[in-house]
Amino acid sequence: MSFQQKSTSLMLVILLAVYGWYFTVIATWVVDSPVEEVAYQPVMFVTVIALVVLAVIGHTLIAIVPPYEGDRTDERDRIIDLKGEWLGGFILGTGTVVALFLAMAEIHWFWIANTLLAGLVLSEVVTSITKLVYYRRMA
Amino acid sequence: MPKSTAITNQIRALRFAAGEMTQAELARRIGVTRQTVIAIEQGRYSPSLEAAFKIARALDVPLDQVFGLPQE
Repeated sequence: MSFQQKSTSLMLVILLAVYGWYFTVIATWVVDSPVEEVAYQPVMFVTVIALVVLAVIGHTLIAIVPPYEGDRTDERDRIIDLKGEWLGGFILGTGTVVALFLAMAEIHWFWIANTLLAGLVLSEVVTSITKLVYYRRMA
Repeated sequence: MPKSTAITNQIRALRFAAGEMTQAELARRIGVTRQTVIAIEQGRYSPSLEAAFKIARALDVPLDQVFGLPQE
């Protein structure tokens, strides 16, 4: 398994763990109280910090734990990357357009912010899964 | 089960004919990762034209001796 493949798998696990936790917590709060009272900003901020910290620790571990594969990329990695980013970009764009319509409809900013975040997270998850599928097909 | 490409190749046999060249050595010579050489050799990935020529050059044979496209 190449470094890029390990990195993609790692980021998928971290994204699912961190934002699975975030959206579960936020959904619980929304059920219990009106969105105007949901203080999602500190939790969202914590998830960004957690994502960065876990990504740094994870990438350090896969770089130093054998087998060492190096971080070299080639044409196959670039093709797989393009295929994943194309699909992820489509989802990110869709999420942004949905958030734009929510803004135009003057829906509460809680929904706009979380729609943007959900679009971003979903696009990254789909990008990672697509890349892993192509790594499997082209392996 | 990963799907194979339509292009066939003789890389494995040619590597052994070229002094039992390893996949890692071939990868180093053509400037790709060992995983990519494995994928090409197993017919899971069709290389770029540039990489195909580099493989043929590294194995010291003409391109059409390395790769083939069977008649439909």
